Amino acid sequence: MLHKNSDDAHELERILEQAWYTRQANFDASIVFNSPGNTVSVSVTGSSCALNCAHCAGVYLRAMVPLEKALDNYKNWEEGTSFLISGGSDALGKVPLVEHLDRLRELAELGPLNLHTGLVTEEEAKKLAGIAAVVSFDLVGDNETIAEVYGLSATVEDYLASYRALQKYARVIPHLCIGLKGGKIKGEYEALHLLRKEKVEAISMIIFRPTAETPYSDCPPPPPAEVANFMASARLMFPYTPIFLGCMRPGGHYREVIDTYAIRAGVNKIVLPSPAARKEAARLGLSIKTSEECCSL
Amino acid sequence: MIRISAGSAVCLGLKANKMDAYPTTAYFLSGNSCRMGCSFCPQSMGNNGALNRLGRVNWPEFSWEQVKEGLSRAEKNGIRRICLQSVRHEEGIDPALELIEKFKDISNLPLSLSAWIKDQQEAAALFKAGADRISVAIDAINPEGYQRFKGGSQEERLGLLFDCARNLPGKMSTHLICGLGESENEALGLVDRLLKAGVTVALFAFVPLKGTLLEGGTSPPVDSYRRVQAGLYLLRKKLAEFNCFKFNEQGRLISFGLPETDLQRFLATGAAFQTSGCPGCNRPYYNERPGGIIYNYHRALSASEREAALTTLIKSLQKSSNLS
Repeated sequence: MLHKNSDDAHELERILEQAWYTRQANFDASIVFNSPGNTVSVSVTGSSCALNCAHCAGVYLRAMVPLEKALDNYKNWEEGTSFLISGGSDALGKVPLVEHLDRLRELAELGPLNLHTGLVTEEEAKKLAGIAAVVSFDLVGDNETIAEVYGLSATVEDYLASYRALQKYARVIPHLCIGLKGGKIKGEYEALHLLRKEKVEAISMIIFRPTAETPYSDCPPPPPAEVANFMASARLMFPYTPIFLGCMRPGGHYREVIDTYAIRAGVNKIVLPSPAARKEAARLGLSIKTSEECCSL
Repeated sequence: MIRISAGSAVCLGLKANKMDAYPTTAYFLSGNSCRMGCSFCPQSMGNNGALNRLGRVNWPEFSWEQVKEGLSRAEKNGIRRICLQSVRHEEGIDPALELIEKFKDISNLPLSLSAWIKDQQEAAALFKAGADRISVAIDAINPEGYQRFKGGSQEERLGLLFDCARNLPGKMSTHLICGLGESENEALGLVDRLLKAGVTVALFAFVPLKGTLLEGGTSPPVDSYRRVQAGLYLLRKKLAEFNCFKFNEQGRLISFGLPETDLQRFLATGAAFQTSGCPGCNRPYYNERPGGIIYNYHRALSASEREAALTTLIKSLQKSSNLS
C-alpha cells in the first residue's frame, strides 16, 4: 500500500488532518461499529438478475434469503430482526420491489425494511416509501460507469431523478461505491458534488471488491490512498452529515488500512470493522458504540 | 558540461552557499540558447538575456563527473526527483535522449523532462529512454498571448499535449505562467481542461527578467495569483467544479461557488499556495525574490502565512452569503 511518492502522502496526511478537525468540531467523540447480525438480507428475485453487472454478476444474490423463505422463517421470530431488501435488477436497472409490495408489507410487520430500489419513478417511490424504514440508493456520478458496469443506457440525471423522488417520500441514504468502475475512481467526486445540492441525511460509502466469477474479478480494488482522499474530501464537503463505511468493501489487510484511514477521515459508522479500526478509534480517543443492524437502519 | 540550478548545485554538494531554502528536485538545464523565441525567457534566441539564467535562477555549469558524484548523495540531501529542462535544440530531441540515458545510468531518481517535442512518437521515445514524466510547456494561457509571447499555435501544442495524455495517462505535465495578458477565467478554464485530460499543471507567476523583451513587465497582482492557485487546487482535489466558478465581465474570478466557511475548510492546509506540478518539485524562489511576497511556497506554510494567503484570497472575492 505504498504511496506513489512522498508528496502525495504528505498532501493526504494534511487533508486527513483537516477532515479529522472537521469531525471533531461537528460531532461528538464516538463512533458506531455495526455488526449487522440482526439484519437479514433478502432477495426478491432469488439469485436471478437481468443485468449481471460487472462487479457482482449476481454472485452476492446467492447468499441472500428469498423473500418467501424470509416470510416463512421469521413469522414467528421473537427476537428483533430487520431486513435488507434487495434483489436482482430488471433490464432497466430497477429492483422489482413494487411487484412484491404486498408480501413486503407483510415482512415489514416483522421488522424494519431497508430497501435497495435501484432506479424508480416518482409513483414507485411513493409506493415504496409506505413500507420502507429507509431506502439505500446507489448513486453513480458518471455515465460511462453506468454503461460499463450496469450495461444501462440510463444517465446520471436518471439516478439523480430517482434519488430526488425517493427523498421526497422516504428516508434515503445515498450509497457511493468507491472504485465501482473496475477499481478506478471515476464519477465518485461528481456524485459528491451532486449530493451537495440535494438534501442528504447521511452518506454510506462502500468500496469495490473484486469478486470471483464476475467480469471484474481481476481488477484490483481502488488504491487505499485514493479512497482515503475521497473519504476525507467527503468529510470536508459534508461537515455536518454522518458518513458511514458500509459492509461492502475488500477484506484482509486492505480492510485494515482502509478502516484506519476511514476513522482518520472522520467517518461516523463502520460496518464490520477490522481490529485495526478498534485500535485507531482508541488511539484517537473515540468511544465505541455498537449496533446490530446494517448501517442505514 | 551541464548547467545546474544554483540551489540544486548546493544540494548536490557542488557549491557551498548557505541558502534559506533547499530544492527537493535537482534541476538541470541542457543547451545554450533556444530555438524558441519566447519573449519572457533569457534562453530565447530573440532575447539578450544571460544564458546562465532560466527564470530568476542562475545555472552554473558543472562537469558530468561532478554531476555523477553529486547525484550519489542527492537523496541523502533531500532530492527526490531530477528535472531536466531542455532548450529547443537544433538537433531536436537527440540531446535530451542522450542525457536521459546518462542520468538513468547514474541515478535511480525519477526524471521529469521539459522539452519541445514534435509528436507523440518523440514522447514515446523519451519515455522509453527513461523519462518518468514529460512536460509540454504551454506557458502562455490564452491563444493570443501564446502567439504573441511564444509564437506559433497554442492549439497545435495543446492538441499534442492532450493526445499524449490520452495515450500516456498520468505521465504528462505542463507549465502555465500567470500574468501574460490572460484573464482568470481563461486561466482556470484551461486548468480545468488540462486536469480533466489528466495533465499535471505547474503554475507560475510571470517575472520580468533582464535582457528579455518583457523586462519592463510586471508580475501579476498577488490576489489574482492566489485566486488562480486556489482554483487550481480546488479543481485538482475535486473539491469544486469549474462550472460553479463565477467571473465578472473582465474575467476576474469573483466566486468559487462555495460558501466562505467551505472555502476556509477546503484551503485550510495551505497546500493550494505551494509550488504545483510534478511530485517533488518545489522550485524555491523561482517566481520571487527571497524576502518578498512568495507566489509559490516551496514548503508547507506557517499558520500566519496560511492565514495571510487565505485572507488575501477571501477578501478579494464577492461576499458569499447569498451562495449555497
